[in-house]
Amino acid sequence: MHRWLGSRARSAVFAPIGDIGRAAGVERRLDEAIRSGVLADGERLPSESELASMFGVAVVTAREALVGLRSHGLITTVRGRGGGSFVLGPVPPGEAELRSRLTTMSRVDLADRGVHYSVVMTGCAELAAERATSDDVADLRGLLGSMAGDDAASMQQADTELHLALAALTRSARLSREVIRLESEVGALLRLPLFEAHHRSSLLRETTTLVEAVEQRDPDAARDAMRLRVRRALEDLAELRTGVR
Amino acid sequence: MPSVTPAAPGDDRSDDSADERLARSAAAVEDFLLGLRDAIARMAGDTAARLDPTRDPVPADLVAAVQPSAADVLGDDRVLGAGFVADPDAFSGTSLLAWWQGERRARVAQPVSLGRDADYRSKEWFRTPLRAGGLHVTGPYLDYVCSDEFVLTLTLPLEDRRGVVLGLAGADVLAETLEQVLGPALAPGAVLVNRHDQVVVAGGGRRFAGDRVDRRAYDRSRACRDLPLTVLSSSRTAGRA
Repeated sequence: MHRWLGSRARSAVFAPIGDIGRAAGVERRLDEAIRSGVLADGERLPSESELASMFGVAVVTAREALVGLRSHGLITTVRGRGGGSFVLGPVPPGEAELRSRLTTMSRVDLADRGVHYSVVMTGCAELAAERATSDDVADLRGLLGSMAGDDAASMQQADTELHLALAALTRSARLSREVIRLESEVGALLRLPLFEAHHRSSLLRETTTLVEAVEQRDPDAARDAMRLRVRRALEDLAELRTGVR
Repeated sequence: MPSVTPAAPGDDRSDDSADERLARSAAAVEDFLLGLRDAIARMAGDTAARLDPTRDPVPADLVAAVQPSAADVLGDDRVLGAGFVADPDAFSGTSLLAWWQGERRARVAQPVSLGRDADYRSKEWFRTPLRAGGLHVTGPYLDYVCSDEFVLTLTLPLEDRRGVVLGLAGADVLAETLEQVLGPALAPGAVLVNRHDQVVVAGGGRRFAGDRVDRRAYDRSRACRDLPLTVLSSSRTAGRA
């Protein structure tokens, strides 16, 4: 039994849907549930076939609805075992919001969050290097490829997905949920300096080292690469914070 | 980040101003923390004066004697918590916290069943000043006994009028408060470190409270008067040390 069929509000989200505009109907139902917080940030959605049977629609219809949600940035899909579609809502914070969040944080608070994030992510990198198959590595390489463009937003997106993919490789659903929460809370802040090109090239270099370490099945090197990457981002963010205050 | 112009060799004027800045930083630290030390010392003295010298105090006597003085220390809203911690050896093995903290200045409950805090005798803020005497500055560290926060703790032995050490008088300040109060006094990239070269407050730049730094990466340092704290700065590295 899915934990999220527990409440009536939740059951209502998944009640069968009428005939007309089925995919749009499914999408709207889920869209509203995410924006209103009935489905919380970081929750995993049921699989396409489970959604199809809950809503009483065809699998292809459920899939179409998920594509719509993904294009609106309301869910993210992580490939592989431990993966699935996860709620990203209600609305991913924009640059202005992140900057204002940054100005209200003390350095002590920033370091506190950064250390927590670093310990979780280095653990994910280490386990991912132990467990990744060649297919998993190919997925990571694909994400690395989409980080190479010279565009802050797509790099932020690809880097987030890469972290979620590393978390999924640990095969721990709890850890994946924790990483999804941390990515929206801390990861998004740490990616704020990527609006500057030289930070993007540092990140690309560090992420290449990280993916290579996973490919070589070298947990220590993967760990180190992640630790250095997070620490540098934290320091860049501290300097950016000095500038924006 | 504000740009920092490196001091050219032999440029006396910029050296002077960097040294002046360092002196001002140290003075700000001394002003706050020596003021706090003096307030703690007054709390210890006043508490001892309220105790009946003709008999050994029981815990309730101590709580009653400490509370009015602790209220004075706690009148400074930069202080997170303050009070007295008994030396169990002076109270037939009984541990006692007469400590108040937080916005509501609530009394901290006795550490009871959780093994991690039941015995504070092993903590640096307790052990070291009892052994060495005088002021001890601990941290910044995560305090599990009282606040579960990242704090700096100042402790002094509290003696009764017979000269018997009863425990410690002390106060905590949040690392976050130190950042607010002292951060602006530090040049970008300058850090206030403790005797373990661990950052207490970072003034801009790439260091954070709790980091350990290499003193050799800084070209100027100034020890704070009567405190085991030092301000480090570097004109060359502009905080990238």
